[in-house]
Amino acid sequence: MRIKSRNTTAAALVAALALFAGACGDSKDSGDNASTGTDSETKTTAPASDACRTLEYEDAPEGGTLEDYAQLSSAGDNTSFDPGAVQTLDESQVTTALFDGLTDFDFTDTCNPTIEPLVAEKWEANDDATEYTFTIKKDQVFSNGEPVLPSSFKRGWERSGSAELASSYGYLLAYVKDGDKLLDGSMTTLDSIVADDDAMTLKVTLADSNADFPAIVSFPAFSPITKEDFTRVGNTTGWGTKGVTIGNGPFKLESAESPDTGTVVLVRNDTWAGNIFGDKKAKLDKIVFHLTSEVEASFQAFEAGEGDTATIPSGQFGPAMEQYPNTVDSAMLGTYFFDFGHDDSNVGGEKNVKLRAAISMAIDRDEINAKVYEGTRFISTGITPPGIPGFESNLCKYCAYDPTEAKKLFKEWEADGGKIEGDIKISINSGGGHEDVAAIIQNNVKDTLGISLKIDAIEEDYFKVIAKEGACQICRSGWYADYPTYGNFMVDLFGAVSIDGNNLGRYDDEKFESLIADAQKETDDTKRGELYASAEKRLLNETVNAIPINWYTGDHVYRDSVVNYVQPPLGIFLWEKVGKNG
Amino acid sequence: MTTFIVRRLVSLLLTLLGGFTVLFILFFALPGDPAELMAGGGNKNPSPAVVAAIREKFHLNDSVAEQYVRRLGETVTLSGTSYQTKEPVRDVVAERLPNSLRLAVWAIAIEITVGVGFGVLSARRRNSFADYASTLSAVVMSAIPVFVLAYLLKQVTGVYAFQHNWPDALRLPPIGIGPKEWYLGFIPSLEQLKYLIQPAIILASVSTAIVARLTRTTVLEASTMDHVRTARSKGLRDGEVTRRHILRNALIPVVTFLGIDFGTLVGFAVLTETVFDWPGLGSKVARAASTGDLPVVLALSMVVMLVYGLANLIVDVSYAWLDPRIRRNGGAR
Repeated sequence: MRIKSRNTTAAALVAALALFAGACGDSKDSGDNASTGTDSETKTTAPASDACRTLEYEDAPEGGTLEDYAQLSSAGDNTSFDPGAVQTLDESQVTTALFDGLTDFDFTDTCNPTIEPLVAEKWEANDDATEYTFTIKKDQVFSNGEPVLPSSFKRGWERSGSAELASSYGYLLAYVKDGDKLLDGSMTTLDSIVADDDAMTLKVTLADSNADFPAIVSFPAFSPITKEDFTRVGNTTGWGTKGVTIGNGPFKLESAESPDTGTVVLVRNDTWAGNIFGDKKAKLDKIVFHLTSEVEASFQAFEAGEGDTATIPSGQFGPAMEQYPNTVDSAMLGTYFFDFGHDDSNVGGEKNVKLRAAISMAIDRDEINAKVYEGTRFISTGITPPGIPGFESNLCKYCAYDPTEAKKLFKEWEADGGKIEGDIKISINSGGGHEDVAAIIQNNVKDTLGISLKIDAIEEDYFKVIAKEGACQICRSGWYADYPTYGNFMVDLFGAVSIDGNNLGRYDDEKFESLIADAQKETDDTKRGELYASAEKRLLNETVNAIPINWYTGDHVYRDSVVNYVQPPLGIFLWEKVGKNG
Repeated sequence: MTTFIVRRLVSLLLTLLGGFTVLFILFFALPGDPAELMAGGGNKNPSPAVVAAIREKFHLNDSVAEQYVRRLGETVTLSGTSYQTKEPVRDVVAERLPNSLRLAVWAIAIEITVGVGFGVLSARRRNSFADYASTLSAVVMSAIPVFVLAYLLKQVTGVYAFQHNWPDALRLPPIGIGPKEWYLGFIPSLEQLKYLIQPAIILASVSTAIVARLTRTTVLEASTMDHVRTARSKGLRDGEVTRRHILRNALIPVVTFLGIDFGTLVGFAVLTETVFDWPGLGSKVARAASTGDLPVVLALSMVVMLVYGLANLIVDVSYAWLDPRIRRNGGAR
């Protein structure tokens, strides 16, 4: 899942003014720890110890209203929080408060998440992981009183994959047999999904073996939907009540104004069946999600006493972290990296492996973290972050900043006949500090290897533009896990099946494909993790087709009165646990 | 006068049609496929089958002429739907137009009271401290970018006020539209005024400076006219001379400016609306244009052009009231 690029035309100047204002404020505002610059402390590697944590929740008081300014603070990009159509992590915060799926993850030990049945009572798979039977708990109801049945899931899944809905995540239904026909509109219902409401079972036949399927169905696109909503909106969607809103989660929708202004108000759903931790009732009476046009404006409102939560704008982490409780130390299952164009004549192909390794080793990731992210992120040693089952620390051979080794590799590449013709583009989507990252890489590569990179900032529809054939030479990518599986990084970001989509560099390697295919079939968790890790080694150490930069961390502040505002690794809050004192 | 107004209304309709046509053609000339936009997909390029289905459903395979006619009908009746959010454009207009009009009306009110007031004061006390002070203020207000001014204002009235425990009455909310409590459509409740005052001041800031400078110049010019000297020589009081003989002449260019400015404030207050999260037309048009959301761009642009045209028509009619010579000559210029 991608996150929105939170930047505006005024952002840079406003951030500078904020720093100025901070310096001019009282002693609480100022302080010696500069929020930018190379002196900032950075989180260099050691992820296994730093990124892993134990999530702790206290018994929050009941009642109260949470005024949230953090989740929908870039409102111009909102399109829908309908589970079938939701695209961004921010909008998913609303969706997951409204809907519960078949399974969920317990992230108490963040580096060892366990999958648990949620609306499902249990599931069974056949030996080659091509057929799954989910048994649904009885007596669960939606907030409108309709029972949650296997057919509620079938209805929701087929809608998510329908050609008419054209959901960004509809492709997940291609894991189900004939799901591709649902996507292209040649089928509208799937015989491969059999809902037996009497037996309370949902039997699913997959297109191919996939041992991660129980994890995949935890994603909102696999939520159940009511007859009432489906009758009302069918396979169309939009913001608020233009889409599906009646859920079975801890909250229900009270009101939603337009997608770029006003509020989305949720109130406690008293018919909720509970979560995997045994909670049966949400603590808060109400959550008001405020839609704001930019992060800077909502953070300023927070500083002026409005609301209970906010997102920290770029450039203001230092003073914000000093003043308010925050989630900045929360490691997320998110990764920031650059792809190499697999078929690009200048940087792609087998003949340029050493060039790519040299470029990767010429990049000072600590400098990027200090100057752009104020030392808040974890320097990555691979694409896949800690917390994903099968994760291996220090997996990447060419990710450490080593100018001497980089020069050596570059000379070897030249000696083998390597020569750069024309410019090499480093493509980024405008905003979000990506220009600054690209500029540091540009300088690093020039200083170490003498290669000139040309920054190519793309304003709109970056991920669509750059995914097209021939568009990526070196191009930025970033990813938040949809569910904590290794496959969600390897298959979705580098699998041939994701070419034209999230595989921006159009990486297509026979050995890598064979490894991820074997991993998908493998039902033993440890062996599956090892196979995926082997695939990542192939990607990073043998073919060198990506440059890991850092792993994401949280970026929210909240009031002292807010309880259990704990950001799990997927970034989605457990809203039912959040409470408020006073 | 009636003929004049009818002629101007016909001219306005032709202007709207011309504007619509230009925007429509520009959108067709620009790269990008609305079907791909509607197919969504920050994550995945939609399959060709999905894009084709959407193109068919929204008649995007029709000839340009057919699409032009269909889109014109949708725009006139406000029956289109946003490509991006699937909202009916009628809802967008219904929600945003009143917000923009209210903000613009109050910004214009500030321009008139502060701008004209300071302009007259400067002219009447030429080369005094008041004159220098208002001139300097005008230059400063015109020179500072709107979003910087807004940010600083909010830092003081919002952040500083909160962190230093100012009384609630003196603290102003940095963003938002407020409780939507309006009397007679345009008069805010006290709580609503807290949300309105800052964006209205910021929106008016640059134009107020211009109005002050313009008023000063035109009042000085009018003060030297023969009929003003005559009025003074007849022993009329200074205030009466200013009100009856100077201002009526001096205000004609100011009113022209205010009329044009009103249309601009309604449709193009993008920065103010963004910084204060005031959901008006300008920020919505800007966003829609950047995402290729043609139905929204066309509908809102037409609304803005209509407001702009009507404001100018009212200005032209008001000349007759301001200048008796125009009234006597039949009301038209």
